Amino acid sequence: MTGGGGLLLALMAASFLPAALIFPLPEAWETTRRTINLVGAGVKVVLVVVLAIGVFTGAQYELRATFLPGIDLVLRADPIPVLFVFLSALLWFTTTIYAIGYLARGDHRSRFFGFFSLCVASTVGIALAGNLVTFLLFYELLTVTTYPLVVHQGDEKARAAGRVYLLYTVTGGAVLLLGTVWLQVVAGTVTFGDTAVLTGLASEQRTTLTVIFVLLIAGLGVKAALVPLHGWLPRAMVAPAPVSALLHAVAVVKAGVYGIVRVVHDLYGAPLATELGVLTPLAVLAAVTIVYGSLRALVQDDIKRRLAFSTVSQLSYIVLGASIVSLVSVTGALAHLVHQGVMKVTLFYCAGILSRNYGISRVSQMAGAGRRAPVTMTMLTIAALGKIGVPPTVGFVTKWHLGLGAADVGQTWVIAVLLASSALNAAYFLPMLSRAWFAREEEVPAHPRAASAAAAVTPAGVRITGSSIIAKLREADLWLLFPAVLTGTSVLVLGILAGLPSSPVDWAEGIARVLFEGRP
Amino acid sequence: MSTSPLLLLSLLPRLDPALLSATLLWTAPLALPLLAALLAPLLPAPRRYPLTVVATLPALLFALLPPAGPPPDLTWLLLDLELGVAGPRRLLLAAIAGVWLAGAVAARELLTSRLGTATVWLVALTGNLGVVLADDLVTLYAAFAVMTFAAYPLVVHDRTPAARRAGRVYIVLSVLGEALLLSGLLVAASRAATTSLDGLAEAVAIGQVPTGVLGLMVAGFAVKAGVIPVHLWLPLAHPAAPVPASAVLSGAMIKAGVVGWLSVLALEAGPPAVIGQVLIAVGVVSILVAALLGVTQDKVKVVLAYSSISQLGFITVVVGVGATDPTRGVAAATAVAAYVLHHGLAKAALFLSVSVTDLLPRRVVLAGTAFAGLALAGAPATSGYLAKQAAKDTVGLLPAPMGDQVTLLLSVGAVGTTLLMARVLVLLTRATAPTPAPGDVPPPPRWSGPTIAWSGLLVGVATATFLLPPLLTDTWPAPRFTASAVVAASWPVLVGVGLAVGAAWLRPRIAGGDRAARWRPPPGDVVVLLEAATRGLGRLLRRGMDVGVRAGDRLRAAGRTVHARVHPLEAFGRLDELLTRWRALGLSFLVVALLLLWTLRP
Repeated sequence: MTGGGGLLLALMAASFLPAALIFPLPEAWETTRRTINLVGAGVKVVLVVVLAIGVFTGAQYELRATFLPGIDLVLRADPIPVLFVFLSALLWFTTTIYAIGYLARGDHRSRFFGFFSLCVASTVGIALAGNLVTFLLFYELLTVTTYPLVVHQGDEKARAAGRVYLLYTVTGGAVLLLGTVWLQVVAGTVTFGDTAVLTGLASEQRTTLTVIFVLLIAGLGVKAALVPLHGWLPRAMVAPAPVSALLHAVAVVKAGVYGIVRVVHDLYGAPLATELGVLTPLAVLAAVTIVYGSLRALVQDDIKRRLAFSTVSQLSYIVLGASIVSLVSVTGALAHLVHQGVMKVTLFYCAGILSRNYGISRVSQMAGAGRRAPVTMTMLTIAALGKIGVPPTVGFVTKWHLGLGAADVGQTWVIAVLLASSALNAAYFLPMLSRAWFAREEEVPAHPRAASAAAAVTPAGVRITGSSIIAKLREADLWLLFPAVLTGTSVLVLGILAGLPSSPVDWAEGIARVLFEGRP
Repeated sequence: MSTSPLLLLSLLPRLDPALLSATLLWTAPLALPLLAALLAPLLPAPRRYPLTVVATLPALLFALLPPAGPPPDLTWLLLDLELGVAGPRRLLLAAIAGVWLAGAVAARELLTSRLGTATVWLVALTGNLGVVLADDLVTLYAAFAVMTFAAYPLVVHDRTPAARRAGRVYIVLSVLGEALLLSGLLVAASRAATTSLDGLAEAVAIGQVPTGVLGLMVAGFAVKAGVIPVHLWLPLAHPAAPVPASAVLSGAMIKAGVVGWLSVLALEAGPPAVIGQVLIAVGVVSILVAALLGVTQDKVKVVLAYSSISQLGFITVVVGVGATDPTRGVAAATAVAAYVLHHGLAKAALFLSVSVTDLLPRRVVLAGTAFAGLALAGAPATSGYLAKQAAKDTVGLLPAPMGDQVTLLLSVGAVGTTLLMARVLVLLTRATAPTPAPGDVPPPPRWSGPTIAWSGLLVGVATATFLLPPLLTDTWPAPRFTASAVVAASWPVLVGVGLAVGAAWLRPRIAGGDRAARWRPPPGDVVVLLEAATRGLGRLLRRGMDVGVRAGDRLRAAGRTVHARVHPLEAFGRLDELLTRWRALGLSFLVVALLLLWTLRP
């Protein structure tokens, strides 16, 4: 165990400990559970900030334990892991607040929050994993801990979605295991970031390395929802909104794309992957996924299902950027890891508020939503515009970097894909927004299920002319509204301040520079 | 590594007072409207009106008295934000801010009507000002896009089916235009290896930016400028939007396309001449066709929309002339800026004429409208006279036969403008005054927002191009009032008036005259065909996707049935059974033998 191992240990403990404490809690101990949850999430944010500052001032953090003879479990805080941990810690914090509000009146809350904590703990493990074996271990743990969250509602639909989820992810895990074991046999334990090992093997083991690459990407591609491995994601949206937020932005799908980024850039390295000729097919696959996901999203009426297909599409921006060998594209890909998370989490928070408090779960029901829940709809609008890539949101920052990087290396077809995707994003988000904000009075249906608190302030159909927005802040519980407002505004603020040191994109650029030009 | 959260702290010592004040001064024209946009929904409705009006002033002040010294380092905003007011941009800023100010003054009712209207108004204003102030490609695009999206709520403000349709056409064309623009910008930024406009100009000068890429950007901005054939949204959006919104849309926002052209084309650096030639052709077609389509229309705001297309065609020709040869660049850019000022004020005044008809005596409204119309046609002693003179002088720089031909076409265009203005006057006369119902609310005071704005704009129409261009640019040519110049400006107006009077006289006197006068293409003309085509395409796409999804479902269902019928283990058993039959065994032996033989081939 070297220098800063203690901090990593504390970080893991801050994630696992709440789970261990929450599981045995009686269902009725609401306050205790909330406190443990929030303290855990808060402590983790603080630890991650300390870790980030440490890493950027040059400190080394590593935690090593023997797993099997010759195979070590390694946790290490490199710049890419820290970016991902940072994202997951912050979004976990907001999602915890949101989940507490969302499930204020549910059953099995100890089970839910226990697995919720475990799920994020696994994500921390995935992020910090120092080699492929460690990564695989936490990756599988994530699969297992997410299942109870997906089926939380316990009805037949949820259980069916859970079955599909397990079928896909367990199969994907098996393929990943095969690839990992094979690589272990061929090359021994390869530490992430040490691309020299595989590059050295390239001349004699070309085919083997290519096959292993395909296996690894196929295994990771399930969680990253690459077409045609995306089938589970739209089904899993039956889960409660906080779980969807977690699934789509923080943990599961992110683990997949994060894995792909690490395999491409930290295991094989861009030069070797280019030489093997595997990056162009990967880029094409990502492009197909981007367009396919958008096309499917276009015709969904269920809001969360539309968002799910949008996730399929948006995730592949990251894969696409990672498979274009250009400093600027890789910057865009890494930044989108954060950007996509912030945008998608906002969208699911807002979709959750709309369905829980206003009974709006379909696009066709959205008429008048802007008038009934202006704050929620404002945040949803910002995030949706971000997905389209309208400046100055973070979505634009991503699109600009991906496109510029592609132009730098002469792959102009990527720009066409990005713009087609933007146009499709506009085609499925703008009608939603237009219906919510600009529907005529008579098109606005009366919703019997409107929450009493909101209805007391603004009964459906009442013009809010002349009133200021402060009166409307009671449209939802602050537990729900605060996280949505926080992430929604950061979609804008992070975009406007993209040039500031330590903005996500600046951070990503630093990492990409290390990947391309070596450590300074 | 350059990045560290700690670096944020290291920014603090850099906040020396001089830098801070420069930063605040330079960002004020954009930051203050944005702050006002955030503040507006928190205020009670009546307060949003003065807030919006005041928020326009920093930009106007900035244009008239720009801070001394170079702009401060703002690269920490967006992606390396740069601002500047070089060349004709001070004049453009003054023009656009002026139109927005007048629009805001006239917009009390609009700005206080709904919770978010003042906010989107202010955001659109910020975007429009940002397009002028931007000195790098990312900021230019960002401001442009912000303006585009923020203008949508203004277009659909009335929520009527017509407004929704106009909004749809507007947003679809805008998104497509922005896709073209962004694709061009990305490649251009990559080729120039910078996002600054100066860097782009250098790259254009040495031919590093391909013509096609410049063409993409020009086409993207053209959608906003509304030249034919991408004008489709204008004749729908202008009549659908509330009057003050139409005024700023036509007076200021569509000019963002022109400003964009000036920014990316780098006229003085010498873009490929073919772009200039295409722009000249497009401009001439727009001038003439839009005038022809416009005179047939029977709604004032539709006629005004077609007039804007025609006028933007005029500006397009001048930009095109500047792009054909770098030596014409400065003259063209200055003329364009003056024309933007002139057209912005005159067109905003014409739109506001629609809303002051209820407030002022009919005769006053008609006189004011006629004056603005004459200015638009370039009659002497109006702002249009000077603007057109500068524009025609620029066109005269073209080589011999072409210069005279284009100048003649511009004069013909001025005849068309006169006809359009005559049409506006006729339609305004026809409009019936609202009959106050008994016991109705008292009529609004005569000197309310719209009348103040309208009169202010008319004063501007009379004086602006005499005062501002010499003050805000140093490349403005001295105006000429020689007899030949006055004649050159007057004859198209006289011919136009003559034609209008003649047509009015002839209409009841010739067979079929009335029927001919009633014939008119639908507003937005070919947009009707495009809408039908996209509806068909959408149905086709949806059906195609349904087929695909159903096929997928069938495949899965088939898979399930097969799985249910043929249990895997059972299937293996059956296969085994099959293999034991000697015939099968023999067959498989044969296959294996053949395979072996094949591997032995030389």
